[in-house]
Amino acid sequence: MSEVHEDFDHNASEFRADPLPYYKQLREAGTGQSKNYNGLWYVPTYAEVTAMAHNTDGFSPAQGTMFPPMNDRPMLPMESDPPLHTEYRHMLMREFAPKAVAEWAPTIRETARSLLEDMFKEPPFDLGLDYAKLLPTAVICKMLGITFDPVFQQWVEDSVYRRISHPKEAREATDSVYSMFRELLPDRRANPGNDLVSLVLTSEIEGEVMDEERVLDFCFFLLVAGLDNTNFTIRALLHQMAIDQDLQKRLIENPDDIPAAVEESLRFFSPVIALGRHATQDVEFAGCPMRKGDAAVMLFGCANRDPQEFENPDEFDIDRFPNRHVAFGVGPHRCLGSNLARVEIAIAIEEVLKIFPGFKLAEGAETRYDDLGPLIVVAAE
Amino acid sequence: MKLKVDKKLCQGHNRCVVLAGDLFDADDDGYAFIVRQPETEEEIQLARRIVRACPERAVILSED
Ligand code: HEM
Ligand code: SF4
Repeated sequence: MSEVHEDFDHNASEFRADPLPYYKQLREAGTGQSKNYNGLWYVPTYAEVTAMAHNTDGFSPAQGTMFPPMNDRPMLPMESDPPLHTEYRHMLMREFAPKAVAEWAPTIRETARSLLEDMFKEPPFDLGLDYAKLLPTAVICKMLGITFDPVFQQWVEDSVYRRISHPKEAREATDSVYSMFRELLPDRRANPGNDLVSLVLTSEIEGEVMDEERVLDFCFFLLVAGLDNTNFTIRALLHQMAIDQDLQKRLIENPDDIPAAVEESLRFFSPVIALGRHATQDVEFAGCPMRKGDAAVMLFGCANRDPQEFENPDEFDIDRFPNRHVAFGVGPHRCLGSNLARVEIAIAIEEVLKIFPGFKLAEGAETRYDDLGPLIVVAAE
Repeated sequence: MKLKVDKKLCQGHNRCVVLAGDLFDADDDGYAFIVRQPETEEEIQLARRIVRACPERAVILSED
């Protein structure tokens, strides 16, 4: 047992401000137990994260994946076990497969353009606040078949982004989102469309349609699952291109390199820091005695800097090969929205580069971070 | 020489499809399948790269 694990807290601000020294120590010690969150285990290396994610018999997400939890309802399909999980995934997979996502691409591009046009009307603007943050919400609303309005954006933000800093407001916002879906279901049930809400409402799981509460759990998670992380990756890559003009020039001249830059951003910035499991039985994992019911979190960001898997892990290198990062997780629960996220991020970057090639951070603007990543203030020319 | 995707391991990461669209495609559910076997030396090299690129180690190139 190492000291570094004992006091470690993945939500602590000192860690968030400068994670690399913690990551190094945690990886060197391997999996270990902390005093925080009732003895949470931290799983830091690439090999250990991969092993835990693949062991769905031994480690279950069904009792919660977040510490502290987001709310007391399950996030579906993530917080479920096979065979149910397999059915859930089957229901949704087609909508998030590359073909389906490719059909959404023109809509994503239009949305990105119109957000940029609105943003340009009111300089100075911030690509983080006025663009990166809004795009993923606007897109998923269209997929769910719901109207995107400012109140709604606020609920989503409070519910997702402020759950640690303002738990009470976050909770109320979550309730508002649930109520909004609850009100919309009767009409959707009567007039199902081509959207995700209708799909969940009408699909049969274990031979029958799901009750309303379970449908709502799907609606809520499908709405919020991809917002902060997609936004974060867009911001982080935009910021990287603002401070590294050579990278930006290369991506302007070779747009075909954008997907590789997106992939490396996912690895390097790993927007999802930690997600957890509970041990389903007493087990020895990575040499550690875990008891049935013990909670453990996989540190995806830490694994993505593991020198055992990645050469020069702390270098941002879009030519890296192979780049088997675990930013989307790995194994059967691996992100269902990864194809969508990749396309959104790539389009978001392409559209900024078209409208604003050679963009820089505004004169005198220092990079600031809010809960959602770097704020990128860009001055109008 | 035979290029295969192990359907039990594939989780639809789609690295293969992005990096070698001539050899791999994704089905309607997002799982990868082989479009055609690599032919030229260049394609065989590419196939070897994809074996390394798949995060689930689901792409298999048997050398016999
Ligand atoms: C850069 C953006 C994103 C990142 C980094 C990300 C990351 C992740 C991670 C790490 C998991 C693994 C959960 C686990 O192992 O417990 C996950 C699961 C999931 N993500 Fe994403 N995600 C992103 C975008 C999205 C988007 C846009 C959606 C769209 C709705 C989405 C929907 C889901 C769903 C439904 C799951 C649960 C999958 C399952 O348990 O079978 N994600 N995501
Ligand atoms: S890269 Fe691997 S896991 Fe991903 S689709 Fe191809 S074979 Fe499947």
